[in-house]
Amino acid sequence: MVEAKMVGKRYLGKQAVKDVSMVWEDGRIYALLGPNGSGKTTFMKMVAGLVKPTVGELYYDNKKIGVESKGKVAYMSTEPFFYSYMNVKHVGKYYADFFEDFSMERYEELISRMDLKMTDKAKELSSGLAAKLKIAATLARDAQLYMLDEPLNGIDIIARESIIEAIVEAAGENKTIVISSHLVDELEPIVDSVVFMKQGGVILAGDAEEIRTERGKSIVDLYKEVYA
Amino acid sequence: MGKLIKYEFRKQLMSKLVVGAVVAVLELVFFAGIIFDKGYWAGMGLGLFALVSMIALLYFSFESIVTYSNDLKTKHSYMLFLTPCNMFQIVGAKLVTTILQIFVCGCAFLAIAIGDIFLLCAIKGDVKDFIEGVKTFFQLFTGVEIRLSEVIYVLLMLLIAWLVFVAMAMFSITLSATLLSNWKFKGVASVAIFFGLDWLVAKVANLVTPTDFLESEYLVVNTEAWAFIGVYAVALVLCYVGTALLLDKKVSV
Repeated sequence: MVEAKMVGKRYLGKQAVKDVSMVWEDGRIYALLGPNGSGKTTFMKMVAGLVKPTVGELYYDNKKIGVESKGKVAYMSTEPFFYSYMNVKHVGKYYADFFEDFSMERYEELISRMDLKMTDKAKELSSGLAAKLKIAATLARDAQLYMLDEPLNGIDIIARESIIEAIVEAAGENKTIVISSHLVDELEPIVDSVVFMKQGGVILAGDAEEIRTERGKSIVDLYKEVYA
Repeated sequence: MGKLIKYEFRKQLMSKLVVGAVVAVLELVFFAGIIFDKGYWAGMGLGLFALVSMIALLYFSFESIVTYSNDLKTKHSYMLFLTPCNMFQIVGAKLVTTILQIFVCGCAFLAIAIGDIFLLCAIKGDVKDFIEGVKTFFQLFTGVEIRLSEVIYVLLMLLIAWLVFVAMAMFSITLSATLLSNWKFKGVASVAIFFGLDWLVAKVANLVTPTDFLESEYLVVNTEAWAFIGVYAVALVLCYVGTALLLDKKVSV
């Protein structure tokens, strides 16, 4: 479970995240929605332990974000981040070396499903294939929390289905999945909860079904209304 | 920490392969000179090898600093900071890699140089004569008689001084990426902090060892000499702990 208490992050003169308080419960799939610059990525990076909050407190399983939580949280950033010398096989070995929950069998299976080859050089992959590699490495972990930042970016419409399928496969009773995406229509059928962010703050959050019932609108329509 | 060290080596492997290839070519030139009795080739091969090995050792240390800087500034940083390793392990792995690289490459260069010299002596003269020649050279030009304890002391001092140089650079870069990250002139400040720390460590070392034992006619490895190394060892520990704590508490990549 992730708990944020009045978390904020300021860069130079810009407030990237402001007074965010929320709880991510186990066993749910969350959609983190918002336009560019709304604070989604910064917030996920704070939960991943890559960014330190300027103010507020952030906990994973009632403990401050740190070395222990990094072993349980699988974060996939939107940017490519593998070392230049690496090929697909090297990426798998690296994850296997550092993450106890990483399964090489699962990785090989995902790589095969994503039409990648073990000998492909990471830095020479197209943006779509590079995104698939990040997803395969992240989902091959048996993590308790998966955070996927724009996992469908650069992915063609055919491959999106197999990626959504792989994400749903990773879901489980004690696992939390958080997905940030602009492609709300692709996410709506699979998410349990939604968090709308704007200018660094949370403007709406809750159970997806309850929000749909209360507002009489789909999440896609609500997204258009909020950010139009 | 072993795995972190393994990947630090792997990240910096390319430069070693390039230097290895250059050294192999120079050795071929040297051997060709010996085989075909072309003194000019052999001399050129050996001379260039000496030059390349010194430049390479300097470069490897700077490469460690540049790699650390890139680890904080580029997206590759995620590879390092997403792993469940604490910052003391991460910084420690970088320092250990730096020292191992210098040590292993230095030993390899030394072994090649000794091999070349022995080969030359075997063909052109006596190895014993050569060693005596080296001793005489040092006595004539430095006035210092070579003793094993002094050789070990000087090597240890060079190694620790160089490691402190790298650790201070890492600490300055970390300051720039953390406490000074919101400041416009963080780069300049980082360089100024590095030179300030360098000056401070030298000042403290001179205070602890008032006699300039390094410039005396005979190098004596006494308590004062060890205190001099002690100051650098303390500086190394402080930079290491400071860097790890700053990364742990403040860094955002």
